[in-house]
Amino acid sequence: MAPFISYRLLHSAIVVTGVLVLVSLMIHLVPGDPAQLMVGDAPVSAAQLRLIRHSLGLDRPLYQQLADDARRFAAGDLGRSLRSGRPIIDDLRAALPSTLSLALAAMAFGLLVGMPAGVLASVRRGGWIDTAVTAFAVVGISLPSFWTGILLIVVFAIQLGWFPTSGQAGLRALVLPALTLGWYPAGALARVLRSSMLEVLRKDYVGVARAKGLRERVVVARHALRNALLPTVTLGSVQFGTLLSGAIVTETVFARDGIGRLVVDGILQRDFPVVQGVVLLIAVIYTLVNLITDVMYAWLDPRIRFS
Amino acid sequence: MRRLLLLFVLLVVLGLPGLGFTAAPPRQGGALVYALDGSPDRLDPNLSGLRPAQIVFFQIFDPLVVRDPKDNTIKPWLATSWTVSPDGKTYTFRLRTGVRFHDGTAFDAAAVKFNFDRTHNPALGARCGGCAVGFYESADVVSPTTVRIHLKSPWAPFLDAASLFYRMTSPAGVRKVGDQDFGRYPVGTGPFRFVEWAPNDHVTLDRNPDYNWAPSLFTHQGPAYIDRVTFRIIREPSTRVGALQSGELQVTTAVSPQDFQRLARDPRFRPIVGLAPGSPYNWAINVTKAPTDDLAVRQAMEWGINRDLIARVVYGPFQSYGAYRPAYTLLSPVTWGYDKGSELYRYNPAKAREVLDAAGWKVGPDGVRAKGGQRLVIVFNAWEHGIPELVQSELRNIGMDVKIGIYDALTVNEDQRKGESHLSPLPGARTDPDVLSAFLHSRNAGGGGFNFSFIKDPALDRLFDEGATEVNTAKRRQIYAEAERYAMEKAYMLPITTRDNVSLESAKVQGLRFDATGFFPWLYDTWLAP
Repeated sequence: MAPFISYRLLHSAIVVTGVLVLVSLMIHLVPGDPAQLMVGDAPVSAAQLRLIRHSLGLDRPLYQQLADDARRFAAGDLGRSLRSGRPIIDDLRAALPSTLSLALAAMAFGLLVGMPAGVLASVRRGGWIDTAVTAFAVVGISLPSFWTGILLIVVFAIQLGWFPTSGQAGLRALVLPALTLGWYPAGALARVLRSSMLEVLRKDYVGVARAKGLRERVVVARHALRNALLPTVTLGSVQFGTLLSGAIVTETVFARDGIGRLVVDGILQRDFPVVQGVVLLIAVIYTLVNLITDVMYAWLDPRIRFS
Repeated sequence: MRRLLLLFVLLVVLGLPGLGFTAAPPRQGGALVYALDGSPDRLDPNLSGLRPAQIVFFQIFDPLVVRDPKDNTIKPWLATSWTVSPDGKTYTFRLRTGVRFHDGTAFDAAAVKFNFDRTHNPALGARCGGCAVGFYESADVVSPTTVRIHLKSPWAPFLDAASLFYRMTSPAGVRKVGDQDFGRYPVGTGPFRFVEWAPNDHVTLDRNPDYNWAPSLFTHQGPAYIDRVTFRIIREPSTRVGALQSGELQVTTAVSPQDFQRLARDPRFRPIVGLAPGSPYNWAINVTKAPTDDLAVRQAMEWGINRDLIARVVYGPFQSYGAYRPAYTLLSPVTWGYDKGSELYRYNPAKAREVLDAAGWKVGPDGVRAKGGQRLVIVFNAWEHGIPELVQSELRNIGMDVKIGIYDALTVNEDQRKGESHLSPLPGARTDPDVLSAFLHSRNAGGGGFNFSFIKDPALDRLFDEGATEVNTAKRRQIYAEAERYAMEKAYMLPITTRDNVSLESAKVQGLRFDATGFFPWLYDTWLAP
């Protein structure tokens, strides 16, 4: 296992370095003068524009900019937001716990609901449970989160008063956004797990297990489920990445801070250093999640370690 | 009979809380939660012109003077009196004594000088569109309670700018954390002091217990009534209203017409409407790009849209509160300097067609007019739906093909700057008519300026220059009336509706008013009924 993990680590390091270079060059890929774009909404003098270009290091040679950026990023200095003047690392520090807690809660909901539902549906194939699970999954996958979110607010916050409508004060404020965001992965996981379980349950080794006289629960949990998990793990990790960066709609509906919010504001306000910082962070998280997925693969299916 | 019944219900709904309000004495204490529709950027009067930031920091920082919305005159706040030199270039302010910043340091003439110098220090890069940039020369400390501000040339909007944009920050506070970070740790003399700011979530302010310098236009003296104000940042309109309904907050800004209609008559809530002076929902028309370089096309647009219909369809529920009403000229009717005589274009599609026919724009087989092989296609950009769709169908009736673009504000501005669109919106709430020079003076065409009509008209420039320097108010009013009429004759801009502040408050909230701009709440007099 150790050589496999170190190989994957090296791989991840290369990816992160590549992202660093791209993020550093990002500002040059935008058409037009970045300084002019950034002040788009305020009258400025040529002197002010020069000042902005200087503060972004745009007046230095490209290789020097790259080297400076690498040094800065490595030291954890992501610069300051042009708009708020706040150090970007502070903004990320404030936003990341909020995003992580929402993504983890949504993923927990997705796993706790989606996996048992998928297994049950495959075991009781064609029965009413199967139909109910399929309906739950289709609804979860199809409904846009802004609509689900507002619906949940109207029912559970305004009419029943069980949860706050919005904000991030306490665990209770996390429930509705987690349900909103977690419904999609729950539905998707249930569907994928159901179909891969159905496939596995038809396999000979499951028949052998049954023929040995094992109880049905052991057959399903130990022999079928572990083998059916591979595609589910892939889906789960992709979903988690999406939850991190794609939670912007849910964050907006429930008025939560988060890195999705940060990057969208950064783009709308042409706040390049913020966009750079968030892209870098998301890339690092994605790489980490992929690394963990690969390791889990290897643990689930020993053949992968040696290929 | 039904009307009588409705009237009765209305009287009960609107009248009872009103009666209760006059009977009960104001109550000290309690916490108010106020929803903002966007995040502040910096809580620094010199480094932010963003509305959510201003709503918050106007509670923290006091100005020298204040415009009384009742009679539109300038009254004392931190300055007790002032004089203007006959040449209009020197303002001498006498300052109130005993005023202290939240950090305990004294407010005096040196602090005023520090603030004016800071605003106009080019190295700071102040984002104050309404400040005396280009006019300010220097400030003299005459005595601890007297300060003199020197301008390079007379500038009539100076006191108006002093009432809004020059807000007194603590020099010690600025020096302690530095210019760039002061907006995160603001220190002023206001009725509320800064406590904490969780980005994208909330800003908390506490009552300033030492506050004893409220201007006379408020209803009480001494500290504010409420102990704590929390500004919550909630971008989604339906969530803001949902949080109001569930009791999590007491005031919300920017209410949608649908929510407003549903809740304005609910006895648990009360509409509070601030009518905004300044530039209404005006669209700048690019006069340098065909086909809007043709006066006939611009005038046909002015005649061709039914503003009354647009206001009723898009903003129907606001109409009975006087908000988002049809706008026919460059200044909204509540603005000092508004001229009714400049309302030249009432809805008249026949006249619009006539003007286009006379200018040689002939109707083609698909109903769209053309002239010399060029079709009458207009690119109309905006940052929100509603008005654009109606304008499109109205102008289609007179043979124009309107292409709509809905983007974020910066993209709309960029498109207009690059000449990719013909029209883009330029509302601007300001209490002084000088706001028009930002949109129509030739010095603001090109570069970073907001003259999105790109008009360079010496006659108009002269009027704006005179208006900016004329100290006699009667003469000044005449100058702006002439400017409005002239610009409307040339149809440089397309006013459509006014753009006001429509908010909802819980019926428990008492004494909340907006300042003369219609957008900034005065929370000093506000109190919460049990």
